[in-house]
Amino acid sequence: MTNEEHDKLLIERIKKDDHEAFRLLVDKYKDQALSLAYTFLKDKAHAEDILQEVFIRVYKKIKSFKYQSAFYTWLYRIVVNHCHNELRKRKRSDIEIEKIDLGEDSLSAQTDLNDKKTIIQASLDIMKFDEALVLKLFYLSELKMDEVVEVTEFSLSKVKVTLHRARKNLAVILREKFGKEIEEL
Amino acid sequence: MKEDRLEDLLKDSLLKTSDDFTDQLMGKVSKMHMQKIRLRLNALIVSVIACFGSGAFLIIRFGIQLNAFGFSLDMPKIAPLVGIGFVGLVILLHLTNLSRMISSSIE
Repeated sequence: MTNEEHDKLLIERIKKDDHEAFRLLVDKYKDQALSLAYTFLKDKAHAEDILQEVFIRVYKKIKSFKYQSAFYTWLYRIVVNHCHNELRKRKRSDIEIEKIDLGEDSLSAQTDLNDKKTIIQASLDIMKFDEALVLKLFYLSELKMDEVVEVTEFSLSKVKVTLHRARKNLAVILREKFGKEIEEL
Repeated sequence: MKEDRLEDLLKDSLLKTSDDFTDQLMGKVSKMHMQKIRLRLNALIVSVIACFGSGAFLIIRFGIQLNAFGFSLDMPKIAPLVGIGFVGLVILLHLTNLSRMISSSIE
């Protein structure tokens, strides 16, 4: 059974008010959705709160879901929209310009360099928002190019260019900021 | 950096939700579900009463002879009272429902 068929099966059960199926669907996508929400909000607790709202919305709207796209594309689109709205509410839509200062001193204070996860997350935080978003959707959520286009509402060419640039920039950041440490991991 | 290596590194960066995330969410979903059921039930009760009320009103208003069943009622006097009574009951139920909704949303 493919991933989409499995989702369809769960969705059909949810439409019949099967809460266990909803729990399975949430467990399947919550971590990836959290990583996506974190790209916007840069705060894990806040991203989790938003994610709760997102899943409540999914539960309310799932009966009208018509399988015009894959479920995960629909879910990630809701996450992206919700985060955009949240940023607009907080009047912080300029967050993409903000970059976390990871100078030599702050670096050791903020990250435990033995933790690979922290290093990657810190690198993604330094990256441009668009690049981190596309990178996560493509590699972490394993979306196809056209699905990334659907979620981000960027053009296909923009997604390709952003992805190419993101790969290059991430490699540069990892080498510059964490060169020795990342090789050792 | 090789693409496979990049993919592995990114996979390692996947954030994990807190342990009680799903339980919290399911609690909210169950609460929503119960509220939906309660509202549906209330709506059902209101519709049933409204149907019976209007039915009774029509029967009395258009003069089906209850006397035939052994009642001796003064129809013209009772009819408006019965009608007003049922309409009042329906309004009362709606108000009760409304206040319950408002109080739960405040909670």
